Amino acid sequence: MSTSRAAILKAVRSAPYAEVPLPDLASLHAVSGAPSLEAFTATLDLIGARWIRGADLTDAIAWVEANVPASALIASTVSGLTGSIHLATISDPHALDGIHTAVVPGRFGVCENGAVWLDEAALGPHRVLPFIAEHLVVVLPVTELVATMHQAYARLKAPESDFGVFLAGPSKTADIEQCLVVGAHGARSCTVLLLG
Amino acid sequence: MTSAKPASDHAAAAHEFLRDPARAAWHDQTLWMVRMKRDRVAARVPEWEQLREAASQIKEHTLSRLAHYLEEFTAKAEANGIQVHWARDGDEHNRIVLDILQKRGARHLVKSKSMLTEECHLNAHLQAHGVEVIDTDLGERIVQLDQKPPSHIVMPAIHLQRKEVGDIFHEHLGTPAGLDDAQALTEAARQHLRGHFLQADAALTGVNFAIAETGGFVVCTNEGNADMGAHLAPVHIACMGIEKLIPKQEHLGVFIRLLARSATGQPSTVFTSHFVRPHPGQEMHIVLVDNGRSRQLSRPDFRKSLACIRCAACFNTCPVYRRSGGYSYSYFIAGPIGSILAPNVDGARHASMPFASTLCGSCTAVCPVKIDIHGQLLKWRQEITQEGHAPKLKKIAMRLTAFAFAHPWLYRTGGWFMRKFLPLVNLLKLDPWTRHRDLPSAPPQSFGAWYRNKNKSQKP
Repeated sequence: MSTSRAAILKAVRSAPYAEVPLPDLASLHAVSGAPSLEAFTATLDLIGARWIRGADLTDAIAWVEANVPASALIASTVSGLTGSIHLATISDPHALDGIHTAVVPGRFGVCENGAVWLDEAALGPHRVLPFIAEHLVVVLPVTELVATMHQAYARLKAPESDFGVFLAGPSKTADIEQCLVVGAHGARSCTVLLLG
Repeated sequence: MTSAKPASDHAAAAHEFLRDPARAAWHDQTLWMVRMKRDRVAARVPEWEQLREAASQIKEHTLSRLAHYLEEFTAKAEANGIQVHWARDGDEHNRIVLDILQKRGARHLVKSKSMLTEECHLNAHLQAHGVEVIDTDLGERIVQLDQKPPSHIVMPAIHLQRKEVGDIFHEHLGTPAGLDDAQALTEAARQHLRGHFLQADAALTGVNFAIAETGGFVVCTNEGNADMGAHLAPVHIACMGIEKLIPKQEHLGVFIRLLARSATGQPSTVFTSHFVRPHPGQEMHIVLVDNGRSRQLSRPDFRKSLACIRCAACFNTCPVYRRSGGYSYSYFIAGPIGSILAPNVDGARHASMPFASTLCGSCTAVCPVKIDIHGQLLKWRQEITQEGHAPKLKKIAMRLTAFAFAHPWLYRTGGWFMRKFLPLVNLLKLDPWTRHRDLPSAPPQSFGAWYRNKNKSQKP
């Protein structure tokens, strides 16, 4: 296939295209402003995510106990909040099908779109966890907010993680006659527990 | 590039679409609603125009140094443990994908949305070699079951009404006859596709952005289907056109802010997934596809079309797309952007597409990467006409007009005739325009007569 690589690069190089300079993104960073909890929760409301305020992990544990049925399978990657299944003992990600609730730690939230950054460390041994669970709970310290995606990527710097996702609310689709339906393939609900 | 195949005519196909005026009005309204959502969410970003300008410049810069960024991306991706493949055309792309699958003995492939694989006709190729291909985006699955291509690049089944989806699901998924509740139909698809996700031995995704700096790539979905496939299957193949590159990770900030707002009026997609390295024990492949892109890059008038991020804002705003539907276009990417991409692929076959526009410029106004879409449509019309692919009637009309302009007496007589007999045109519906509306009434005198009278009256 190396001949194809050489042929494509040659064809691309032969296109007459004088170099165009890259724009400076500093001005976009400058208008980003400061993050605020009000802005973040307003966006969560807009995108159909639920949010709960709590003081600390004790509140998060209590919320999960009160809101997830006792018999349900819970997988947690939040240290100090134990689920009902032990993720490290599961070697095949397919076995995660049927999990009722996944609880994961968010690194930071983005006010303008309600997304929370989850990296490989937050997902535990299986990347599929926040997608395959029927319901998703994200634990996020209220201090960890950025205003825009510019600030978000500034915070990520170089990729520190082999995989990561900006996750904004429950999975949804409007593919049937533009009717919004929540719960397409991923989680049917997304709750952000804002602690601190 | 020419083809022996006859060009399918947009106007004729649109005429068929308009035979059902109620349905055409519904299609128009549905897409206009998406356009309005886009406007509302864009208006909440005060620096929107600044973002569009930055996106445009980043894309132009990348295209002007594309070979450099392709090499940087490949080196980084390979260092990350991703296998990179190069395909000059659709056939080579299909062979590469089949080869990857056969080496692993994979026979069940789940696919998330990828317009590139539509372009290359991958599904048919794999199916002919015994691979089961399941499209997992809900809209794509609906049209796949219906054995049709997508009619819109973001909302593939936008042409279908709930009841029709219910009929398709009843036939193929065994849902109760007459079920037309979107929630229940989506749930049926969720259960059906969950089974396929759990069985698949390979997953294929598209790529929204590939980052040269990191060797990683980003896939955006609302449903979570790309992630369900890619994280469960032992093999993940990501297919991308060579124009999907951006130089740095920080540039994602610009594009992610623009993409979903422009596409569906959401502040972002639900899932914006960043793949950098395969999971231990998993294989990850990237297929880089040219298939005419380097040719488009060498055409200064048209190369900016390669900046497209496939948001389909130009579809939703286009008065012609909204009133003619995706299947009226001869290329699998319909709408204004499809109409400037298709002639690069086959000018003769898609000769009517650049004419499927009023040149109102709304496409250019909403494009998040500032492609001069309506300007390129006009340029393609000129090229297509010069190459002799314009419709016969148009050629005759142009010759007659040129003759009239060259002979003032004929021009004057023609003008007098039109002023007198214009109501007849409305009455007899002589022009396609008058099928749905009347021409405005003609002024009582010609511009020439008005000008002469004006000068006369102003003389001292």
